[in-house]
Amino acid sequence: MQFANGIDDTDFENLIAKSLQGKVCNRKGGQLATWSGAKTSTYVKHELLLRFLHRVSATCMALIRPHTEEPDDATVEHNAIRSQPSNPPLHEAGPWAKLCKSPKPEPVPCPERMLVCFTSRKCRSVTKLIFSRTHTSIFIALLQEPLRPNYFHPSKAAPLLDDKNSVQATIWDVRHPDTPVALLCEESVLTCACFAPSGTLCVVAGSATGLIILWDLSMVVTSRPDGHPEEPFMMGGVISNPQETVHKSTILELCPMLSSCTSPIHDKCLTFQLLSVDDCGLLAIWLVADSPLNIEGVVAHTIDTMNATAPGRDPRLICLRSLTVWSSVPTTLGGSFGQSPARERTESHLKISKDNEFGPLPPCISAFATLPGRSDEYLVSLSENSYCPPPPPYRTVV
Amino acid sequence: MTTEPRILFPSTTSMKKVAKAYQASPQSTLPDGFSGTRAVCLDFSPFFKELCVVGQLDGGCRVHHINLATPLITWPYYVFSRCTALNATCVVSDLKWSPNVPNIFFVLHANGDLHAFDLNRHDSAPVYSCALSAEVGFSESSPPLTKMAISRGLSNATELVLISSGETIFKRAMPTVNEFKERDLGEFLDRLITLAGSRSD
Repeated sequence: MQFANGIDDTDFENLIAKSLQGKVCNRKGGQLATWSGAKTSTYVKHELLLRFLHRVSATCMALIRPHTEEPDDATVEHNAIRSQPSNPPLHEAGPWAKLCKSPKPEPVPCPERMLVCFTSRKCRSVTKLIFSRTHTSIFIALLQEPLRPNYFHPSKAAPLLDDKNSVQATIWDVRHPDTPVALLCEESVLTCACFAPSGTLCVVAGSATGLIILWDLSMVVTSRPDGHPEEPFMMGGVISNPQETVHKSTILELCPMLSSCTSPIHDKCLTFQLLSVDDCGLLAIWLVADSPLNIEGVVAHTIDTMNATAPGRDPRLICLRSLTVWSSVPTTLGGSFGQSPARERTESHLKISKDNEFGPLPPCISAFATLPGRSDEYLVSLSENSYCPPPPPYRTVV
Repeated sequence: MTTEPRILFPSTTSMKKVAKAYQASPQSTLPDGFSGTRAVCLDFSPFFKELCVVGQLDGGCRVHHINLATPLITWPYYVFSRCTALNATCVVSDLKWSPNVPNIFFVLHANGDLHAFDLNRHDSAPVYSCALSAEVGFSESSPPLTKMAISRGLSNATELVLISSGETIFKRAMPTVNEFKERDLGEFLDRLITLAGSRSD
């Protein structure tokens, strides 16, 4: 065998052959390595042996490597890529930890201690996870299905819940995973949410029935300085006037308009603007205003549970204007979108869709975001339908 | 109020449609190797407000500059399949930029595979990948809904990654740079300019 540096090493060949229960011999046409099986002898050209050694080298390295690399259930290629030391900080990340504490009391024993495990029969998946930018340990988890009052029995929170007022989202502090900080109550399923861009801890969420709901959590934080309540706050929200609902279908995304809250005076107040979009393509610009503005014509409805807002605050949601995405879609790209009438999508319709009776309705918008540099512009991606190929995400100005 | 879109981020199909509408050849319009598809989620960089990363229905992702019509970088789904056992139909369920480091972003697929890209080090494949299904033990045959959130963390040296898998939420502290270096930001910006220049050529 000749190595790349030109050195012949028959001893090495014999060592390999011996390990394979064979021997090396010379024949016409080249050097061959042989080894004996149980019944027959097999000859292998040394090129093949080299190729074999090259191929198994990664495996040998994986075997030599400490067992912490889990070589048993992963492919060699997978191991090679995962072990790339190109990003040491990420590579040194610790193991995943389960934020797994259920609210107390726990009438239905959970098979595992999970973050949101109220009954073991139905899966209540988390549909959104959003961190607060200003309070970096606080996050909200939206639930796919609401929590029912029977879970909380005999908690004092149970009487506050009924069939029309269920827990749809949970607020957590990662420093204290034993109990959620607050349980957000609403009749309809929440589909999207965002934190206020200002320094106040305020959550705005959109529902499957087109409502925009606001929760002021600043009181929760200030009243629990240790951040470790025995029982979570159960909070109803401030709802935009249900009689004048702008959106009539599922709200897909809520984006705070950052440029509306750039002055220092806004850091401590609740006033900011946000943009909502539903799956029929209707956009609405909302003003979340503190009570001092006292804009006439605003009607707010507060669910009668525990404190919904901080003392001295009376936030209102005011729709400033609305428009449709289709009005700005170029005709060359819009296809049948521009002619599509708005489809009303109620919660009951969503439940029917889940049961596959009529099949789920595909949303018309697959992704949406306002531009952080210019929050009066947005980026939207339109979904495909049976008549039109998928149009592109595009950027426009509201 | 301006209602006309200012710029397009086309997919392959729509570019063909635009080209047809303007009686141009689709082949001459489409850049080589461009494999865009429908966007299902997007996230803007907290450091560069013109930069966003877009997750695709087919499992691939791409980075856009909002003033450019085509993506800066595109990663088809098979880039991820080299790192984990991702199949072709696994949608990108969430993606987020790192709040602490400008050149790092995370991509989460619906099957629980998490990938981290460091555009300063390696822009052709993730620099770090892990399969949540293997690490926390849920069935890959029926993966639950997965979502992701990232916080700056409780100290400047770490950022906190949350991943929900069905009804369970997992957290992981990711060590990041101890102090932010202006040099890193400059390198990343230079690299973006180079990429944008190569695209415009």
